[in-house]
Amino acid sequence: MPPSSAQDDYAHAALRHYRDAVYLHDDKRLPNADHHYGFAVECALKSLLLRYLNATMIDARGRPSHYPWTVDTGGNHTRHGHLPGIWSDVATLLRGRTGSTLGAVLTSSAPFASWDVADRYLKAPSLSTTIMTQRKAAATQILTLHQQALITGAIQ
Amino acid sequence: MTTPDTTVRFDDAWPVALAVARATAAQGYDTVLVRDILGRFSLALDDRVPKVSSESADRWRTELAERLGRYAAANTVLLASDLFAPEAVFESPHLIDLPGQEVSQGHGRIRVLDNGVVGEDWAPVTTPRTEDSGVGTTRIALYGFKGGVGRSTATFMLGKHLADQGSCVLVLDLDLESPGSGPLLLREEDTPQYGLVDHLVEFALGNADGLDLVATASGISVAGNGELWVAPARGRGSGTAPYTYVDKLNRVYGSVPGTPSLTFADRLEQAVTACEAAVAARSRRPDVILLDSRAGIHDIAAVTISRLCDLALLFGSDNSQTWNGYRDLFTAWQASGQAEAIRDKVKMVASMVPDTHRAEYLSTFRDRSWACFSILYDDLPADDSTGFNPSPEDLSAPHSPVPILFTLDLVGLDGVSSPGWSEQRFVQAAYDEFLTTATRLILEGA
Repeated sequence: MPPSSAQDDYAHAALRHYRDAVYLHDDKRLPNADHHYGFAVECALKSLLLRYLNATMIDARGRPSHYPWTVDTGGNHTRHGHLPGIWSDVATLLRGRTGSTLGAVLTSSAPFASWDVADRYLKAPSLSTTIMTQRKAAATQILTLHQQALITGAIQ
Repeated sequence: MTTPDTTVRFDDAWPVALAVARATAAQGYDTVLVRDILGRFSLALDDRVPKVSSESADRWRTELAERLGRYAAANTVLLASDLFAPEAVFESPHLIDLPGQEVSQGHGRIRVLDNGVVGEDWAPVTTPRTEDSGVGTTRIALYGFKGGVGRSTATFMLGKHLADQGSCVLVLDLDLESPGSGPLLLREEDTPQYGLVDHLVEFALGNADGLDLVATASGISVAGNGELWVAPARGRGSGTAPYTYVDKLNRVYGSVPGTPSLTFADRLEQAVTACEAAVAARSRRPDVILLDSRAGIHDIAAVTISRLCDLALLFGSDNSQTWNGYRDLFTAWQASGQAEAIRDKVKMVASMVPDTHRAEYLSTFRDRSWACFSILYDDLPADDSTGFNPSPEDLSAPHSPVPILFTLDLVGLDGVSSPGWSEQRFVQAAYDEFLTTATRLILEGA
């Protein structure tokens, strides 16, 4: 899959996961709502990584990958996967850029710190209404910043 | 392969995008003309009421993509109903109205969302709020498009003159890249420990309280109860660690992330307010603040002229570099709908008038200045007196220059090592009309 279509796929997938999350959240089906909020954020961040932060869908050995990868100035490759890892990955990559609202959002709180993709296999992950509200707010904020980045041509 | 004569360049893209925006607005859609950081255009249409047919959207999309060349965004038409957060576009605080737009019934409104890397602070033009500047404090910017036109010397002369009239005056050296009025007014040993650059850096971390930022001008006796204070760009340092000016300057121009984030304009405004408060704490609230702005089309100048001052004195000498520069600036203000706001707060200064053929020089200067200011004046038929379009001869008009005479003796003056230089007769003669007029503008607002 060429990178140009991967970034568009991630952009659309972010919206799809977000809408499903809100639908389930409104119906109080919290575990799956939470799952989709997490994927909405992951996909938005992956779209931004590919567009603005020099990530490619090429792994450390130069082969096509299902994940975005970045290479730092020391030649070290990083694979960007699920939350909560990708949250801090992007925060780190934005460090040193002045005036980034996204950077501020990612460093000021960590609502997905305890989010785990493996929770989808659990019988009933425990989720408070408070954490759900925080995660919805964070997902909304990140998807809004994702939209603005696509429109203005830069991470805001 | 695109041939050179059909290649769309930056300036060509605007009229193309605007023409399509006018067509979408004519259909009743509120339209935001978006330009991204590389200059590419898209149109955001508010299709929540009325709806846009997919045929119409596709037609506009194709037209823009075909006619804009490299200046077409990836998606040239964005519909509010498709956007994740339409309010982030249609209610953005950065939207500006298209100048001269008359919206009639069933006709949408066109607004512009221009995303530059820097320079956003040229618009909108405002004057300081009373609570910011303090009751009775007048903020005056001194700006020259081109450097080396005697701006810092004039700042000193004006500061001293106003102080001699009994005013408490604070001079801020905002020329961070090449500090001028700070070194001109303060001996090294009299310089405060910190400068404006320190406030900009420390404030970003909430660490600006207690900075020593101001000092009274060195070796200058002021008549009566007037006072002349200076806030330099660079400080003297603490003495315990090296003072690293460049390392700090490299960090001042960004916004500070946070909720809400602070723009560079906010940071600069806070620095000015802090200096004002520092003088008030040590003596009394300044009556006049003189902002010695840096030259060129730069963010500091943008914030200083557009936002921080009540009146901006625009310095210039009669040459094409000056007029091209002001023309570019005035064009940008006009295009962003700021013509009326900016012409109300600027006054031209001819800062290097040759003493030998003064009248002739000023006459030419005034005509060229008027031609340049016409960009900001209302375009009216001859018999229409409802708008603002002063004649070239109108002495009170913003374009009509206040003269400062140029003499070779002024070159290379070092205020600190030549105490009393400003009292010399040739200096007083050179600045006489400038000081009288500027003082009247500042103290009487007329």
